[in-house]
Amino acid sequence: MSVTRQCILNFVGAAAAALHRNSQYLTELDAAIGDADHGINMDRGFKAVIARLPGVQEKDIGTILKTVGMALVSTVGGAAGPLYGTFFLRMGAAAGDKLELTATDLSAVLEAGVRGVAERGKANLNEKTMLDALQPGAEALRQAVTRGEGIQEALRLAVAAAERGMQATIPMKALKGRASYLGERSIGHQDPGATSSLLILQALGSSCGVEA
Amino acid sequence: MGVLVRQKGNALVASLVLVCHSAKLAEGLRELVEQVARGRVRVFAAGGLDEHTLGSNPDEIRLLLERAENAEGMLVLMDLGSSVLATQMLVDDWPEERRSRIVLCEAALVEGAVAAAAQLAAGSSLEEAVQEARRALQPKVKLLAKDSLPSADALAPDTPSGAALILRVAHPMGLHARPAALFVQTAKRFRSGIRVRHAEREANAKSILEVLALGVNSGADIQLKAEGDDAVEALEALRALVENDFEQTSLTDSQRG
Repeated sequence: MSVTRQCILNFVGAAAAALHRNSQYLTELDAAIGDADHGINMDRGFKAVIARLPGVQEKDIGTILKTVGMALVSTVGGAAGPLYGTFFLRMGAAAGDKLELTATDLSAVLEAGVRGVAERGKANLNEKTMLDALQPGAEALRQAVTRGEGIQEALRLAVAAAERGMQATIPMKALKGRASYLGERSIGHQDPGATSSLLILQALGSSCGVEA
Repeated sequence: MGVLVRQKGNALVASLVLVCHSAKLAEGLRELVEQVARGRVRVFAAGGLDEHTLGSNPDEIRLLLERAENAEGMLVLMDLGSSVLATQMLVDDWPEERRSRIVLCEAALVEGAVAAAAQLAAGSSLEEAVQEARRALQPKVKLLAKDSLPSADALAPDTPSGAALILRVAHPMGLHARPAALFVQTAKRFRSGIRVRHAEREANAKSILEVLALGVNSGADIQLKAEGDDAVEALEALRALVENDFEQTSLTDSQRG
């Protein structure tokens, strides 16, 4: 089984739908420890993404992912724009002109995206950010693929790890972003960026982790 | 993108670019900074995702950077978060041969912009303007320094070979007449440059005219800064003089006859 261009297109659509459905929830999370706009921003960004997709649906996976990235950079408005923008742009660069990805390719692509986020945001784990969901997710995917797991199982494990990572942000003190201005008061709240990251990885799992 | 075009008028001065989360903030800040720039520095400001929405618009920031681009360089100041991230992303992708003349400065936005504009308007280089922008909080820190306990920031010297001190002049005459003369005499014993600050005015500690012009009355605080290899000794000597109400030296003088 491989990750085809079609399931990448499905993934982007599913991510947009999930972020739209959860827009208010994400905004509420962001209201607790941020500037109360994460859900609105991500919804806006992915609406712009969906508008651009028809223009690239015949292109290679790299071009599709880069188009997602550029749309997010331009339209999200908050820090999630440059961060998720870089995530998708780096994934696109790693995917190149392929029309389908093997399990190994997928792992390399996700790792490139996560590395991009860490570099752009100058963040590490345990700082209460999107990285706390993305990095465990990418790591779990890599380990599963190395063990020889199929894409379906590997993505399932990746999503489970990302979910645990998202929940782990609750007791963390924020060291990055708007929440870091709250210091101790950021403790006890789930990070909105880690939450949107889980939604995106869940979309990847549900679109590309099932047999065609 | 094409060739850099020299602008008329203030072509020989770096441009100032201000990036904020708010369109209103950008406009207000530009107005404030242009007052300081006195027509000698080009100031460009962008803010908000759009006029009504807080956030960052990388397309607008890119347009700003392109318009501001200048052979003398570009000093960019940002407020926080996505303003910084978006600008960094854009500059990362800037053509390499032109990237070196763009400085993303970590200074405080408002204070840094005002300081940089003042420097550039006076003909300073991009590098000098960056240094001043980084120090731009100092005037406010000093104004807000507590009466009895100088803050650590107020005492922090600006340079490694510098030293700084805050003293209270308790002598009934203040820093006038004989106390002033002794002060200047003491300062002149040292090689370091020594500056005295009082109520936002500054004087050369080795110039009696300048020290007298400060008008330091009894009970007032003065800030001393010394720069040079004997900076610490210089300030110590002046501290001893002032804290002893200029008496010790007076006695010595009269003993000498």
